[in-house]
Amino acid sequence: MNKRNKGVPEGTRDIIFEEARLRREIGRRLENVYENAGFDCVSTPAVEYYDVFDYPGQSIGQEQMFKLTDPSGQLIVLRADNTTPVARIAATKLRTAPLPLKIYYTQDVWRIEKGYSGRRSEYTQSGAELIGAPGLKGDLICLSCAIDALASIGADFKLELGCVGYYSAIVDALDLSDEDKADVLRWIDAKNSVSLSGMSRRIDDAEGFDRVRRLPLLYGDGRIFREAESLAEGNEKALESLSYLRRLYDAVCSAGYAEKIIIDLGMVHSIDYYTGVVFTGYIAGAGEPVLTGGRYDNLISNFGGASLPATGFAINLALVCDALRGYECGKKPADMLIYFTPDDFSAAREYAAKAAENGLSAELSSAASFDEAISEARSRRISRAVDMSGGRAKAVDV
Amino acid sequence: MIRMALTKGRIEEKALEMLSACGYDVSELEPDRRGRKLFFRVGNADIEIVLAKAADVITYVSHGVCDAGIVGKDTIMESDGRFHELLDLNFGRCRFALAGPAGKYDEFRRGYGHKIIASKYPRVTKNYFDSLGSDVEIVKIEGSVELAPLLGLSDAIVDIVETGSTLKANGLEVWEDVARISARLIANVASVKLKKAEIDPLAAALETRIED
Repeated sequence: MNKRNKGVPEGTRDIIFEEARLRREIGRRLENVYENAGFDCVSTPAVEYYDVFDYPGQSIGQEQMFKLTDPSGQLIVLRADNTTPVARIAATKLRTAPLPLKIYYTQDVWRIEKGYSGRRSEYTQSGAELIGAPGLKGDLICLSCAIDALASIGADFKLELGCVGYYSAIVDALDLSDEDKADVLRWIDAKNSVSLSGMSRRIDDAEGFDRVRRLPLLYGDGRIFREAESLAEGNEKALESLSYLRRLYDAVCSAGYAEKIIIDLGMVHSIDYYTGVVFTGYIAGAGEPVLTGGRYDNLISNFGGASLPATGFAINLALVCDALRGYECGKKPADMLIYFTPDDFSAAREYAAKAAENGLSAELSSAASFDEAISEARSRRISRAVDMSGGRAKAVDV
Repeated sequence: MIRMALTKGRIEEKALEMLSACGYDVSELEPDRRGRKLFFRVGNADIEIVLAKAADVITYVSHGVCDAGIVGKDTIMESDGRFHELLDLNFGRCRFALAGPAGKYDEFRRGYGHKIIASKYPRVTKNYFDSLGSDVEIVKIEGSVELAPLLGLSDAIVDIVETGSTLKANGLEVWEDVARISARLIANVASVKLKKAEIDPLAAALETRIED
């Protein structure tokens, strides 16, 4: 039998030193942003009952989840998404907590990706959820946090806004079968005008479909609103969503972010628990969106209890770190290396503590002799070695 | 700057013709000027061109190391990448077809027995039969797929058909059209947003040169 005891499973990886530090550093910056905005942290189990992820509109395929059984034979899965467990907590353990709930997390998700695609099946998400804050103000608070989070990463970024109401009203105006509708939404999201045109040949409502066909092109800066308005002429529902988005856009722009915000009215998130404004964040150097989020007012009621307005976002830390590759984040060498024998362990610790008080880092050496400790210090670029044998410190610059 | 990947071979030739007709200076890619270079600059625009195998064009664009690409729909249908398909450039036209031994179609469709389909494109084949609601066994073949039914391995094949003359020469015929194929302009999902000002004009220029 081929023993697989030297590698890691497809789609996972060991994250070592510099990469791990970078991820932690970015994670901390994001958590600072959430903390400053008044969010509090949670951590949920790595495994959940499969049923938690099985609700109408849930679009992470069963085949994308890592499945196990618990000791009683229940089907459990590795956490496939973070918003869903947070919604579960909000509906159950936090159902009596005062609203709004402001929750953040930094934890892994697992989704099975095809082999050799260069995609990961395990990655860390850092995200924030605002639960119990409806409408424009709720959306603004969430967007404000998303903008600060993206800005804290330090790379050039863009945040893109869209809304579910606009495109659904335009697609719903056509009398499509569920299957055709699913195709249409997928193609709008993929900006696949080609396939949409192909479908137009077998749709009776030529004028209505022509509107749908133009949806993928409705992205850009604020000027796109005028075109979107004329496209939705006569469709009250679509116009209402559009004017809501416009108000949100104007508010964010007036806060000085006009350069950073783009509009995409053909943005259809693949996870379809979203009900209102949706957003996507890009940073320079990443080939796909690093942030996804939006309003999901119907999700929480899936776990019993009242329906609660909610909005939130998650940032894919793996993608962010890949985009920042080369960013200097290596560990600095310690200020001194202390050689000691078991007899002067206590003195060595005291010396290190004193150094720490003066803002210097001191590291204990496992070397067998002081000479060895000196060469260890050299090889690890530590500029000073301290000999503690005999209980008295003798420092040597190396 | 945007970087564009072209599928080596026939697609590349026709794509360069189109780009040139749009006014882009692609003289660095003329055969006698290429040498061993892997990257080529468009003379009068901030565009860099790389040449790659079809499936790699999709991989590079999906990962965002290339912003745009020109690749056949056949490769797109067999792939699993995430990208935007912006334009049907309408050259390199052919089709995916289900083909089998001449005169045996009724027999193929009538029986309830287990069907075996040979193809170089197992994903396309699976999606096609899934959409019809029939389950078939798919055998992946790397070379001349026409051999499989002749040797008795499969009942039919799904393959790219241009004129149908290879099929005919081997006693096979087209039974059903599966999909139309032509070259497409694709783009990375992030580049479409972050480099809109560069990708839009390129797509618009190409669009004016699409032939019927």
